[in-house]
Amino acid sequence: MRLVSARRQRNTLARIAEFYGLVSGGLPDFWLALILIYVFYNLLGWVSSPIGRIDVLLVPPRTITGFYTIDGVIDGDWPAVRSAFAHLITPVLTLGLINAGPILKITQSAMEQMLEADFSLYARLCGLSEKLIVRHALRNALPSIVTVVSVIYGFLIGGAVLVETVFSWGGPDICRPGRTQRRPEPGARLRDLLGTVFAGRISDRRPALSCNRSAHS
Amino acid sequence: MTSNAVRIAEKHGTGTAADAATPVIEVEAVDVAYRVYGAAPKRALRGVSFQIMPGEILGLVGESGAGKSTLARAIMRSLPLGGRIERGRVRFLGSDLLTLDEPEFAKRRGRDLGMIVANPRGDLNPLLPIGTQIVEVARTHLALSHSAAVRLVLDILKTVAIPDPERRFHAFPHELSGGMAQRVVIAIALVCSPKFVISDDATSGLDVTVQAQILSLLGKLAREQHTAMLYITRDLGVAANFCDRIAIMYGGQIVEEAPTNLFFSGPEHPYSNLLLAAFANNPRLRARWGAKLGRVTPTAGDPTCLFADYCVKREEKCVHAPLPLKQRRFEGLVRCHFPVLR
Repeated sequence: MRLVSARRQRNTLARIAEFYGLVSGGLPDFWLALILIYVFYNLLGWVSSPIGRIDVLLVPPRTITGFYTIDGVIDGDWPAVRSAFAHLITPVLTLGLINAGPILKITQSAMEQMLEADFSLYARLCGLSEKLIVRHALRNALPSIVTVVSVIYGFLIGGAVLVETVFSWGGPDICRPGRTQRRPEPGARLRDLLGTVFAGRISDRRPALSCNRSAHS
Repeated sequence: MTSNAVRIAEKHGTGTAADAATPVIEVEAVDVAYRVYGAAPKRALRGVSFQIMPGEILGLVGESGAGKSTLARAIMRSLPLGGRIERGRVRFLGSDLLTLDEPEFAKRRGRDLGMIVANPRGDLNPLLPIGTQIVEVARTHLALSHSAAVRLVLDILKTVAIPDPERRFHAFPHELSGGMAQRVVIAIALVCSPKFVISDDATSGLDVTVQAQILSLLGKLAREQHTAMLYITRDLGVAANFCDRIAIMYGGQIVEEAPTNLFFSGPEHPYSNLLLAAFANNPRLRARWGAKLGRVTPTAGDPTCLFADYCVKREEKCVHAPLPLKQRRFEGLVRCHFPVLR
């Protein structure tokens, strides 16, 4: 969708994509979470109740990794796995819908720039197929996309507090309003910290990997 | 024209007379205009016509903004946004290129019509090894397996005199010097053995020795593969040595066209004389041909002389009377009421 929107500036899909990028940047995620719960749980009943990470009547699987889904698979506790996945749908949808906006925007602008770049025009002059040209442009646009994704990754971990509250998850944070008395496991915090640092490292290296150019200089 | 064709055929020794008599590319009365927001379209080309025989090199010379690159891109049908071919025909070996639909034409780009660009390091994809880029072009147009394409590319890299092709095959564009990158672009243009090659200012960014090497390379390839070439340049000196015919462009028109030796022994258009005077580096000569007379408003509409504002030989007729292309004294065409005859 992003690629298409960069290629054809003025068609309907591009308009929708542009509008979506704008709206997702403007919407508060906790509000979208409430709307999604209302529509998909209260009205349609498609998803399970937005309370906790697993059904309240089920016993969570043993803590091995901390991910209920993975622990459930390791333990062979299939009802728990199914329930954990069902409880993932709306939160993931919320965060995904909100955070895909900036990525979409940056992909669109980077692709537009790359498709207008001299090497794309030259590739067209050489008679290369449009598919090939788009692929090359995407590879050239990758560094800026990866950078944005890595920034968003940090935000996802730190900034998901309100969404976690809405879905009654036990988040990793200590500064949640009114919840300071509960001490989170230090291991979870360390994991998130390392994760963010690692994402940052990857985004620093990734342009180098995709360019080959920095590797030589 | 016929005598010209025969001359070319004789010069290159190969090909029958009938072969040489069919022009590879015929451009007929092409008009190009750029649409400008909120204003009248800007006319970039006005009735440009020429043809090029197999193995012939036509030098297109003119100042910046004369429409040289617009012409090249019009033939390649890749005008910048807003540009449109308003009138005229471009024929390649007799078949009309402008009426082809886009996918059909895209197949011809790079296969039948090669283009050598001026800024090779900016125009090559920075993330791909040059070998891969040439292989991609080759495989797009020729039904080749990957290994066959690689062999072809190594061959062509050798042909364009790149030392150690096996190693350069894996080089990225930023690892190459300007001259090397220029050779790569030439290799891309020639890998499908096109019948017609446009070189748009291809050697102007290079220093003189490299330029000489590349020109001799291009000349050799044109002769050996019988390629017709449109060589666009601002450098009359290069054109004099390299081209079979010269066309001078001014304000989107070809104002004079003649075989190289005849052109340089007696340029007939006042603008050609001014251009030559500018290259002669002789202030007296420049003063003689250069004049700024002030703007005049033509009354006869389109076909009056565009150079009248600056022409030392201007007379009443130049501003008001329609201006047809006339035969030069010996061979070729000139667009002037009062051609310079010595």
